[in-house]
Amino acid sequence: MDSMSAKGQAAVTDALFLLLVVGILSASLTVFSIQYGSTIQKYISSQYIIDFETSALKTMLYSTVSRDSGKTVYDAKQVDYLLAVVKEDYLDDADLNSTTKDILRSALKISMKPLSSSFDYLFLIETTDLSRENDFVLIYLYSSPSLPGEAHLEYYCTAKDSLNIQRFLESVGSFVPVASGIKLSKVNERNKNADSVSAIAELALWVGTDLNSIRGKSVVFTENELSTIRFDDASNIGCNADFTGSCAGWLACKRITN
Amino acid sequence: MKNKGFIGPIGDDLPSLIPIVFALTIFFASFNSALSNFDSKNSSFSNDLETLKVARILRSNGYIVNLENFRQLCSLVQVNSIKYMAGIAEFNALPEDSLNPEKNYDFVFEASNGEELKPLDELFYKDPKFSAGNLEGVFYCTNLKNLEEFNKGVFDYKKTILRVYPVILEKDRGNGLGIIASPMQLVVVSWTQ
Repeated sequence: MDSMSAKGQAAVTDALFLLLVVGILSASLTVFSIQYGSTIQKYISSQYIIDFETSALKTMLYSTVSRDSGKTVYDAKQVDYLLAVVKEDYLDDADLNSTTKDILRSALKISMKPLSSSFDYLFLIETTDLSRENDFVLIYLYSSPSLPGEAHLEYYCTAKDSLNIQRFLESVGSFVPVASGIKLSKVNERNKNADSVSAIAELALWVGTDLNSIRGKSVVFTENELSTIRFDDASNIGCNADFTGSCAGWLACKRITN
Repeated sequence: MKNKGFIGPIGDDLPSLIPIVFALTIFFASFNSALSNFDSKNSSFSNDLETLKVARILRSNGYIVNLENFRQLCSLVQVNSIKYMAGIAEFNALPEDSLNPEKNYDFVFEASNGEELKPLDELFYKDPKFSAGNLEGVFYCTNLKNLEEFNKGVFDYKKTILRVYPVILEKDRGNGLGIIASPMQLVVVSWTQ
């Protein structure tokens, strides 16, 4: 072969290699630039959600509620902070009656209104005294409907312990929790004095998910059934028993219809 | 015979110049596109963060005592890279899913095709102690020098950010009934031109 002609072919091959390398580089650069910022965007979104939830918790607990039945806060003679009403109700029997639960639920729904069509949330009040087992004062679940266009579903739930709640939240996907310490009081049976009880109010928010699509994570029961639920009974409907035989991440709930 | 087909040192490399030029074009085009993409995203993040900053200052501890308290918080906001309009609105002023400005265009600002916006004293909460017809008692905060700029249709701009937070506002019930802590919404709208 003529030496000058071979030289020309080598130059074309080099140029094609250059084109290949530059093509790969450019493609990588384009892919990188498209993906750039997704982590920052997630961070900014989560910051907003955390700010929102913190505000919502505070707004709910410090909202004024009427102490005169049948009157609004604008015309009632006696009004109080919602947190004070919760404390008062908890004092005698370490439980909340249905009226207080409904007031809490309504206040929470008002606070969460701007995000409630796109997000689901779980609100709970849990005592955290070391001297006794954790005790859930209230667990409220606001969940997306199975079919689009239907109203959201609301539940009062029970759970075995905090781990149970944690596993439930992990099953719904990426969630953002915030918590705030509160003080409740309970009558001491021996000396009839009011003992202070440490508790947390926690709110966790996640993008709306049909809970039916998550196998065995929440089951709806009637009120009678709820009172007899045993969380270590693997034969429960929807129970996804872990190695200890406990229904992991399983919430037993009662649908709120009003 | 020895120089058959040879058209000079450059002429012989002419075919190889085509892929080289093509490669350079691809490289600089993608480089330029990536740079503008980085720039655009950085600018967007910066606007998002500035909006969060405005909201955090105005929200403070989430409990607003009165208009004076709100104005004091407003004076602490030092943001120039974005234009913003913020205020305290009643809870029923915004529908669910207020995060979607397009969807709630008409609800939030009562706007029609970005022309006529609801006046600020109707849009945001007004302290009843103040007389009607001016912005004296209105809970609003902005860095706009000319409020008419807001009325030109903020959602027509390149990117508008809407952030809503629940807050508590103390309200006097009048008639000697005392004060209540009322749930309200802090609405922050920001945009860049």
